[in-house]
Amino acid sequence: MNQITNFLTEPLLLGLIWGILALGVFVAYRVLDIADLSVEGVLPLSAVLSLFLINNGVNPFLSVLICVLVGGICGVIVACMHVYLKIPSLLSGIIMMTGLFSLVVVVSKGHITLDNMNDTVFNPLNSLLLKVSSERSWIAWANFIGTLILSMVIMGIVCIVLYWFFGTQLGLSIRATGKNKIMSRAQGIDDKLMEIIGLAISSGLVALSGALLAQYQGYASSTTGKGTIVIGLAIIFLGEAIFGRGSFKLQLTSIVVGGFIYWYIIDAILLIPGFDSNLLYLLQAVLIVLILTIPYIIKKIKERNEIRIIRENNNVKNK
Amino acid sequence: MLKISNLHKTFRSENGLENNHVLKGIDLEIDEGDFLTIIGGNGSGKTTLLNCICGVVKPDSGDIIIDNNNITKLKEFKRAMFIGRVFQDPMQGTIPEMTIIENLSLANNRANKISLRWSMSNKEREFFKKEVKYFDLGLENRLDDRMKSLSGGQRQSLTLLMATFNKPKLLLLDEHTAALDPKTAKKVMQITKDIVNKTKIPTIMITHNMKDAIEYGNRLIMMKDGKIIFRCEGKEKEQLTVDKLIKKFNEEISELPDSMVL
Repeated sequence: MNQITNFLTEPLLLGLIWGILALGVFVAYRVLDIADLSVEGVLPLSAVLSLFLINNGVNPFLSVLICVLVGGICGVIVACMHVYLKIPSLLSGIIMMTGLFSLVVVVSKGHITLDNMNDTVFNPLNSLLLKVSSERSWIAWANFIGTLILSMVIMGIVCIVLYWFFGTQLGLSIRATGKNKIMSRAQGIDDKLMEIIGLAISSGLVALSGALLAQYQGYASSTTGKGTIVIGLAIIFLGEAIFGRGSFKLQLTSIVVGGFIYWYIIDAILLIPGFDSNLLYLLQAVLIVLILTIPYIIKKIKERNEIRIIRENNNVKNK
Repeated sequence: MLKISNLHKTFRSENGLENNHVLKGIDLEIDEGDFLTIIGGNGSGKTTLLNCICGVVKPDSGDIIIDNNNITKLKEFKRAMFIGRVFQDPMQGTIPEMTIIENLSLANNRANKISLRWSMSNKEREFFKKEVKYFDLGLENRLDDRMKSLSGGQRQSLTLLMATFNKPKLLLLDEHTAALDPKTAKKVMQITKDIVNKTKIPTIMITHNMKDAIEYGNRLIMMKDGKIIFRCEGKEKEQLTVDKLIKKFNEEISELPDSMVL
């Protein structure tokens, strides 16, 4: 693969893997109305834990499952701090994130690489595709297509399960809790339990994304999760800027599409000759500000134009 | 049915210096088929009484008993299984971002919240259509619209309908027409009357409107300063007029020291 095909293909994979993270952030931020910053700790923990487990002989699929469970437990802890100890949710998340940094370093000792690059969840499908052709150039394509198919399948399952879940009585109750606690309690909803379940799902998804990311890259370190929350939110806002905030189905779709677009934007900027990749975090911060303000500015300009037209019409009438 | 005995509640300020004794030994009994209206000035403890019954506020002492079950210590969300509520603020009783049918479904499944059953079955949809149609709100074909697209009156009517799903043992209405314009308020009051007559759910309604307090319900109490100072029911209630009530109201108010009137 050359640089151009690389540019076209990589954002698809990153979009899917980070899209799962964005769905997790969406469940906390949009559904429950809790800005859970523990994401910054759960994602790297899951990434290093997944590789650590695989290096110690655990099946890659099982490692993903364990990571999701660990992530879910992290979510439960954050929720319990907020719900029972009455620590503000923002602070609960920050406390959890800070605490998890230690675990990340302990597990990874700073940096962790897969001992055997073939020991990933992506490998079975990739090696199956490799058998199709023996040409050298096919290797990269087989890896890409295999990874893409598996990521799409996982993303598809996640979306379908989320859509189904948030349509059940339990899911509906969780959504209600995030929107109106007074009404929820009046309708017999245990709002504390709903926040715990909701954050467990959110962190579980974040952990799933972290494990997949680490296995896709083949390495993870304590800096893997830097800026995670910004990426997650940027993807959500980007989707909303394009699709608006409609039905639940539309919101899920907008996040998936937002993931692709986000990584194409980042990838395009990285292609600029001489761009210092150390500026990436700064770039992401600027990007999220732009994503948030551009729809607002467009709305203002439209309003101003409408007012001007009304005014002109009135002037014509008056004359 | 509902029996409240010697209910006390004091709100303490954060520094513990200023105590506000809001309920001073309330005794109240509601029987099957009762429709009780509560009137009283600001700070008389009406809303606190209602909040104690539905569990938002925990009383300091006293008992709240429904059908021989003491619910004084039961959590708010658990009481929701048998207490329906409508709030003063139309925004509070429903979820604006969710569709009408989702709101109705939440209310209709109050008893089984941790169920993984898909929430909107066709059977339920037909049931909601029938229920909504009964009150002639013109909403039966808008079930998939968002709640926020409705007017305050429509929302209050739906909240009222939601509160009566699963036939609760008690219906609490906290000035539920106060935020509406007079015409809408009248319509919602009419719907309230229809619902109470149709379902026969014992109802407690707080109101600022003396006319409403007299016109609706078979019993009336007046609260002042944390106590019930006037009770009226049956024949006496039927003969009650606004003038008589205002006279009664003023009599009680004039007994207050000047500082409290101001």
